[in-house]
Order: sequence, then structure tokens, then C-alpha cells
Amino acid sequence: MADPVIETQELHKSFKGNEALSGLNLNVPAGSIFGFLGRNGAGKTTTIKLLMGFLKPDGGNARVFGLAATDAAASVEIRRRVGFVSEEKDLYPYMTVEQIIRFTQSFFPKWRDDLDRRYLKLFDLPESRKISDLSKGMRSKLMLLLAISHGAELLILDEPAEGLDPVAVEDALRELVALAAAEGTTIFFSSHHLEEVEQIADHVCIIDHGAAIVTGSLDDLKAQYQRLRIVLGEDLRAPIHWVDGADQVRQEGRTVDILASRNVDAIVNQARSLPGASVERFPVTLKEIFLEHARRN
Amino acid sequence: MLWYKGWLETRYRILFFLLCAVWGLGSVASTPYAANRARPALLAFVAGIPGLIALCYPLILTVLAGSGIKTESDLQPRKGLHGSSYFTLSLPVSRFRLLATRAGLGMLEAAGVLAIAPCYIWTFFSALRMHLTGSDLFAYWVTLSICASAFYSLGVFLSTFLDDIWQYLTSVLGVVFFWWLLSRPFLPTSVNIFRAMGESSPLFTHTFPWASMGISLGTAAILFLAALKVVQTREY
Repeated sequence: MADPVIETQELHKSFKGNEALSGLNLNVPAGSIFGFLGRNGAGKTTTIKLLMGFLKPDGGNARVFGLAATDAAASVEIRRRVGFVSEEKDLYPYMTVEQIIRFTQSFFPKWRDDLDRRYLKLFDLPESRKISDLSKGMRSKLMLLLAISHGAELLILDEPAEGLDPVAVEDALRELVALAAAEGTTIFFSSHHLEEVEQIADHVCIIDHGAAIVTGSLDDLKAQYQRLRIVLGEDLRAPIHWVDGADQVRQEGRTVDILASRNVDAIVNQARSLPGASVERFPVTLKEIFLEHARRN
Repeated sequence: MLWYKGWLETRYRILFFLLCAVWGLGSVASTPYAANRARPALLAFVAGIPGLIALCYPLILTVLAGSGIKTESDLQPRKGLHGSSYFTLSLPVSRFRLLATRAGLGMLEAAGVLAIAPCYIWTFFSALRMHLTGSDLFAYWVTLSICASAFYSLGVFLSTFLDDIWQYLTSVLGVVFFWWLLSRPFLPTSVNIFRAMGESSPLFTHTFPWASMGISLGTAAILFLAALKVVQTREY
């Protein structure tokens, strides 16, 4: 496994007694496209703010590129190598698109003129227009342009597609994937849109109540989780006690639907041992995995 | 580019204060008193101007300090969303540099506004030109700028943890407190920053009020360090 670009260990953070993070362990491999999922208030934005040095943890540690995110000097170095899109998508309203590009460029020696030209055109951003006159979707695009164009090794994007129309979302996702493939940029992004995450992420972490409840490569998770449809040969009067791993069991008549999170083969064998039962296996979507954990917690 | 950003954020406010200052002082110059060409009468009249400046400028400066630091809420606490402050904080710049740039720019702008006073005296009180040299006026401007640094830093400090209206109110109270404290009989008049901008200014003494300037710079440094501490420990 590649060296982690982001690593947190037992990260804790509370606000006025409310625990936002309760021992978060996170490991984001270099070059990955890492989807960071969770319900509202799960701790996604708090984690991102800790990584960017906006907040200080109450316990545990957070490292980006092996540098302590809590150290002021290291945090400046981290930010030099990170492209960031905040949840708010707010930029300086009194600047024009052209001015904010020149302003941001001055802080990053590795600025890529070719990329900013490319994204200005792709995102159809008018250079002379003031930021106060841009829609939220346009500001989202502009923030993406600024984050990508400075040649960052890591993009930290908090709900990057927020405010974008479906076409723009497609464009943005396609560009992010291309960037990761061409430049080896690591992309760490939070999103509520599970379809987007599934479309581009190769790793995911689902966070709930400030702790990671599911984490790993998307392929592994999809291999681990399966939906089983079992048609029983006869109505069984006694309830079936399924082996461990059958998380979500719904029975209607002789049809049983199971969302299995582990021990899939054992569950299949158990089903096949029932008189006259037939079993079908279906792949699950990320949405199903997310909803299962969200309900469970 | 942080200087450029700061200038874009404060230029209209600075322009407003410049226009106010020009208009205010121009109005005073048009009074019959200003037409008196006798040196003692003129000096007495002009002595009142620095006094006025000593009173008004600290208040204006504290307001300017707030605007310099907190526009777009870069470093200021604010209820709810922080707007563009997350973008600013995501730049590879230390919080020291952010604060120092804003404070430095604000001081330069303040010095620019303060330059109106000697220019005004030179322009409207032609009779005084035989009694005051250009270097007296320059020294007066330097004195004003340095003495103003304490008040400016007070504004900077307050703006790091107070919202708009509270910052203005406490700034005014802070200036009044300074005035009261420095006027106490047990303190030597040489440390009175307000006197240094008025009756003890180089316009009348033809020398720098070193003690007051030192006190002002010391106070400014302490307040700036306090502001820096607040900004560096703050969470956003």
C-alpha cells in the first residue's frame, strides 16, 4: 500500500461539550481518490478543518504528507501543497475572476497557467466578472479552478459539487479523475452525493458520530458486501437465525432479502441448506452500504 | 498580493476618511480666526488643530484598524459562516503574516490620512511659513504617525475578538481611558501621547517628543503581540 498522504490517529474534537470527532482513524493512500462520507454533523467538515489547520484537536494527531497539521509552520507547508475547496464556496466578492486568479497564483510558485486557461474555458467563467456577481455554482467552479491550477499534490474538497448543475458535476468529476490519473494527485473529498463518490472514488470512509465505521477500497467493500435473494421452497414457521453478517433481513412470504456485510459464503451455504431454497447474489451500491450503516448507527 | 487585497478592501473607507478630513479642516480654515495673521494668535489657533487631531484621529484610527483587519472577516470571530476567511486561511501564509500585512497596510493608510494635517497647515496658514520650517511639519507628521500607532494597534487588537459595533464602542472607551490615564498628575507630561500630538508637538517645540513616541511604540508592540496571540490560538 502506498504511503498515506493523510493519516489521523484517535482524533478527538469537541465543541462546547459536544463530541464532533471521537477517535477518528483515517488513512488516505497517495494517489487515491478518497470519498469521505457521512450524515450531516457526522464530523466530515471538522476533520477537514483539522487537516487544514483551522482547528486544533483535543486529542490524537493528524498528519498530512507526514507533517503535523497542528504545527503552525508545518501547516503552512501543508497548505502550500494542498488545493482546498471549502464548503461555503465564498471568495472575495470585490475581486473579479481574473483578479482572484492572479492573487492566488502569487502564493504558488508551481502555478499551472495551462490549467487555469483550460478550466476557465471548460467552466465557462467570465474573467472580467466580479465574484459577487457569480452564482454559487460558478463560485464552486472557480474554487475548483483555483485549487487545481496551483499544482497541488493533494486536493481537499468539501462538498465540491455543491451548487453545480448535473452537466458541470459530470465535467468536474471527469476532470478530477483525469487529474488523478495524469498527475498522480491525491483527491480527498466529502460529499452527500453517493452516486458521485461511487463514480470516481477508489477508496471510501464512512464516518458517523465522529468515528470511521467503514473504510477501505471501494472494490473490497463491494466484494465484501452483497445482497442475497433467497426463495424458500416452503413457508417456514420458525424464524431463521442467520449466521453473523446478515445485516438487513427482510422476508415477504417465501422470499428473503439479505444485505450481507461479511460471511457471504456462509450465509449462502446456510440458505442452500434450507429445503428447496434457491439463492441469487447481487452486487450492492455504495448507497446501500451507506444507508445500512447510517440506519444501524 | 496580500497588500493588494488589503488595499482593495479598505480603499473606499480610506478615501472617505480622506475626504472627511479635507472637508473638515478646509471648513476650519475658512473661519475668520484663520485669517488673523498675528503669529501668537495664529499659533494659538493652530495649536487647537493638533488638539482636535489628538482627539479625533485616535477614534478614527481605531475604526480604521478594525476595517483593515476584519473586512471579509479574515481573522475575526463572527457568528455563523466565516465567508471567505476559509479561502484566506487556506493560503500558504502564516497567521502572523496575515495580521502583520493588515496592520502594516493600515498603518501606512493611517499615515497617509495623517499627512493631511501638516499639508493643511502649510497650505492654509501661509503666515506661519516664516515661523515653521518644512522639517518641523515633517517631524509633526512623523510624530502624529508614531503616536497614532498605539491607537491603531488598540483597534487591531479589539478587532481580533470583537464584532463591529462592540469593537467601535470599546475603541472609543479605550481612547477615553488612555486620555484619562495619561492626564493623571502623577504621570509626567512627557509621556502624554495626546499632548505630543498637540501642544508638545514639533510644531511648537521644534523637537521630537521622544518619550511619548517611545510609549506609543511600546504600547503598539504590546497590543500587536496580544492581537497576534489571539489570532494564532483562535479556531475557525
